[in-house]
Amino acid sequence: MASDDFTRGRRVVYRFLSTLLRDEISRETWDKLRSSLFVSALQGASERLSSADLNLGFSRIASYLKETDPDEGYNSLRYEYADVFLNTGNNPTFPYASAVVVREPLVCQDPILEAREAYRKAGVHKNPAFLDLDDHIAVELDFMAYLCGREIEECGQELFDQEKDFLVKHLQPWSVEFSAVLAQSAQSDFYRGLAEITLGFLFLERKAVVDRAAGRMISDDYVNSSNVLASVLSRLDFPDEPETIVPGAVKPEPVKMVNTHCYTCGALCGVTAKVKDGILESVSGLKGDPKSDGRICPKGANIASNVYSAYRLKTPLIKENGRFRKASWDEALDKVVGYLKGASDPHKVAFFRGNDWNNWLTEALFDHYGAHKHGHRCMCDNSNRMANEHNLNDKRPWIHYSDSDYIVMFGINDLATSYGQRKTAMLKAAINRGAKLVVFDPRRSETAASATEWVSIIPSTDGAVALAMAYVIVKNELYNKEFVEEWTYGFAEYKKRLMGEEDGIVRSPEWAEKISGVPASTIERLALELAAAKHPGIISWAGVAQSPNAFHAVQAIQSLNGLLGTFDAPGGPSLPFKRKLKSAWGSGQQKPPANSPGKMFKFHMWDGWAPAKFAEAVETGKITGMIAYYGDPVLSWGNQNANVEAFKKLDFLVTIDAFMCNTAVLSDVVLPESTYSEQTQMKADWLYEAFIGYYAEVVKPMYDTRPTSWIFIDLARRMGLEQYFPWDDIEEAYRNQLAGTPWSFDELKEKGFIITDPHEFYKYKKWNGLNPPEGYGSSGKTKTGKYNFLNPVAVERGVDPLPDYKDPGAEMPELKPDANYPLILGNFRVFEHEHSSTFNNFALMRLYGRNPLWINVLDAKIRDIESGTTVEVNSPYGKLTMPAHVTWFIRQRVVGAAGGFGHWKGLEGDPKYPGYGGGNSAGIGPPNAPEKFGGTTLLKYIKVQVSKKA
Amino acid sequence: MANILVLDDEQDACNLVKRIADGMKHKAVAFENEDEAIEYAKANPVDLAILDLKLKKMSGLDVLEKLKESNPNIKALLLTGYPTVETAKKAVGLGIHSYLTKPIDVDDLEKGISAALQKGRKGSKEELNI
Repeated sequence: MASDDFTRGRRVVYRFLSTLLRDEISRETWDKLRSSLFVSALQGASERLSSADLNLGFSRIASYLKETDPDEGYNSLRYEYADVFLNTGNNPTFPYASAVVVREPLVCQDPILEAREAYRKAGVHKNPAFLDLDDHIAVELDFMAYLCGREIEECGQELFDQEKDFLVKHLQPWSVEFSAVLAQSAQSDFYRGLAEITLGFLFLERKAVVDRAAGRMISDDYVNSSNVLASVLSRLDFPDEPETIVPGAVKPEPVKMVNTHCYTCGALCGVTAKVKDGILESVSGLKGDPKSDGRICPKGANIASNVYSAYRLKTPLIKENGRFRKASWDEALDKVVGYLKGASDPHKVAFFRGNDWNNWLTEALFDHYGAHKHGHRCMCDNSNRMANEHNLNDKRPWIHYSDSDYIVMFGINDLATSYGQRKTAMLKAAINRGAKLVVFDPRRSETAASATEWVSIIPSTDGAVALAMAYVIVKNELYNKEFVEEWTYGFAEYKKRLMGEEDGIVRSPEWAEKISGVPASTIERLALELAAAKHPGIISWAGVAQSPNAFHAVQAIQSLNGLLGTFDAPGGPSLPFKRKLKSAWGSGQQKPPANSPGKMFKFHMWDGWAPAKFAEAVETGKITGMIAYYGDPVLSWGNQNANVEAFKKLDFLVTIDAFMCNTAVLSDVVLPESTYSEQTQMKADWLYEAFIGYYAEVVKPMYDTRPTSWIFIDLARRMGLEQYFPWDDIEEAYRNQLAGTPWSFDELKEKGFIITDPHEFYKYKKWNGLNPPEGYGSSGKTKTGKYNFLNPVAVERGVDPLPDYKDPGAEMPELKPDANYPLILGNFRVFEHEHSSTFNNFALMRLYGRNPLWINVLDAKIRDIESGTTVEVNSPYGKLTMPAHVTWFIRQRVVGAAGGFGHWKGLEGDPKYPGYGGGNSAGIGPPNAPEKFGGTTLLKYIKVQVSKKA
Repeated sequence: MANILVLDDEQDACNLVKRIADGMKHKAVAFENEDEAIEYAKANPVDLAILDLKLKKMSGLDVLEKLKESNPNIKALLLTGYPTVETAKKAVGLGIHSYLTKPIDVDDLEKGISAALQKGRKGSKEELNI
């Protein structure tokens, strides 16, 4: 049996290590460490320790304490702690048994359950006030200190066995690798020394425990070393009682199944989450949900890898002297409010929300404040919206595939970017039963690969092909005369355009061939096939929308649906409609009045702040400060260099995100948002049926993160706006939104969704127009109530209102490829990722972890490039280095890469995982140059030259 | 059943590990000499190498580097009586599946063997670049 003094000494060392690894070094602890008596005692002691690592570790720390300036050293350790343990740095250490044992940047794996079981057996649990995980090294060390304390008070084989089992089977094995990683990611000898001490001490502890178990004496060397350490470390006077462990065995929480929705991408598929002992274990599809009907994709299946990414932000952060340090919520939020109140003009502050999570709340605050705001539209497809939202009732009427027999897609990769796995399944079923799928795309995407016919097309010429197809249909009078007569507006003018009666240019297949590279015979054949189909449908999306001439091209493509009368028909685009919910402000509650800043920029069809013109906005003083919520503007707003310089010029920048995105790196304050699985929202939605979806708090918020609603309501209250943000619990707001409706919030929470209106074909006949009736909403509205070939808003704004093909260089000649930059670079999305938000999800990065440049075999050959060759991609506005992927499946003179890559921190920035990461291919586009109709960033039309890297 | 190579310059330790692996119904071949072990691995399939860190001529990590030249996918466990930060760093960098401290706990070794031989993701730990 070990002596009490020896055990007390061991406890002192465990408490020392636990305290120093638990949190940033407090000022009080720093002052104690720096006392000259302690430092000289430590230096003397280090020479008398039996283990080389203990020797070295304590020597390093002693030297650091002696040689470092008191204030600089204290601050420096705070910054280092944030970099190493709070994910602000490039090379973090994950102090969790889970992450170390699986050797992946994931927490809450099996080891946390082992730790919990050990605590349970000992009659204790992790202190809930310690806002970190049960298998944090500090907790496990504290647990050992606790067991030492018990050993002093009571003896017993069971207690010894607990100690031995935990140390030998759990803590010591993973501490070796933890120490190795910490030693190499540490920036100072302080943390390097701590790594060596942890490894050395726990090794000796293990040996001692094994010796005791075998009935052998503990080595004198170790007993002496332990006594020496205890005598020195006792001077720090850390409390004997553990701080991260508290009495009481906590039973495992029962398994629960939670119905909710995935929020990884815009599909918002219904899912059921299985939670075991408070940990999200797995996700499956939610049967009956209009978006998923029981199916999920890899993104949904790997929601847990998002929640448990080891790269999560854990606490608020404040930048100081160019480095980040931990801050309390009070300090961080007061600083943000200080910025907002101190702004010279609220109308020069910008609020960007990269998603629409509870946007009724987030926008209410900043609309009242008077900030310019932006959501998603200009980053995605505002050009598309300006066409569809005025010519019919919504930006994206998805095709109802159940009866499809002929589907034409322009610039959309529906199998990889689908808004709902149910829709994906319907598309696949249509293909399998023999529906013809024609995909126009310069690249053989996943959808093009599944198509009956992939038509390779020159980028930004889809409008010409669509127009020519319309010409064939109209010329041969194959259009749906009844629909055109009764339900459309402007056909006569459109016909004149097609026939060349306005300008002498007949929009024939021969005309389109010269522009698009698609043979005239193909265009004519496809048009005739389309017109002969029983249930045709035509659709386009971002592949067309993110180009300079998108507005008229989208109109041309959508006009095919207008000519064939496919809206709301089987196989045609389904007219969206969603129930309008009531106000979140109930009886006696007041929504804050809006204080409009006016429109920042004027485009041909839309006015507002377009993020692609951010650099110009800052340069001209239109924006002086920003609150950026999600979406990583640095990675998603176009030219990265220009935008980074602009961010640096702001008076203040605040980022709210779950990860250290690039924008957070540039920020003054970073507020850690809980992931969507740790907070709630309710949303009226649509996919053929109108429904309300619920997004549940599947697991409790981790670390010191907070839900969006909490952050924005607290900000509002600190700004003196509590009367406008009155809810103590956000559920009160949700209940207000359903008050007086036939739908029960409790039923919605339980089931995850409530269908408010079933799907119907030909709804417009019931509605007496394409706009949904009172009580329903869609994203747009046709002023005529009909489908417009002639865009009435375009007429008002003096814009050519008819579908057409406009040369991409017509208003932006500098964008067109030339001798120096002969290729067009287009960014594409992949199935496994969503914009810039999934790149710290290790499971998804294992599926798709790099973004090589797709280049045609012939383009590669003349440049002496093979697959795997490192290439330089140069545009007039920036350059990238990436590996090449040489393929026939992209058109000559076109190159492409998956967007969203290019994070400085997190997994992509972590040198420990060099196999993951890529470049920001969207970041070398022209600065301040969105398309001129809706302000959409030009992600699909960037002129470049590619060469082998020297 | 997997092919396991055991290398330890102490005969008793070597035999013990071999017995444990054999007891798990694997085919284990034991060596006390680094060169013989390396030559054997060049000519025979080896799924898992269980290596002592401290050998006579070179370290277990040096041996692993050589084994990986002919079989980059070989899995490995490292056994050591004296772990240090430096050897742990190198071991992790080489993709060692587990780093076990002597005296070996039989359960831990069996667990380590089973985990390393698991198919798919769990059987293949990332090689950290540290």
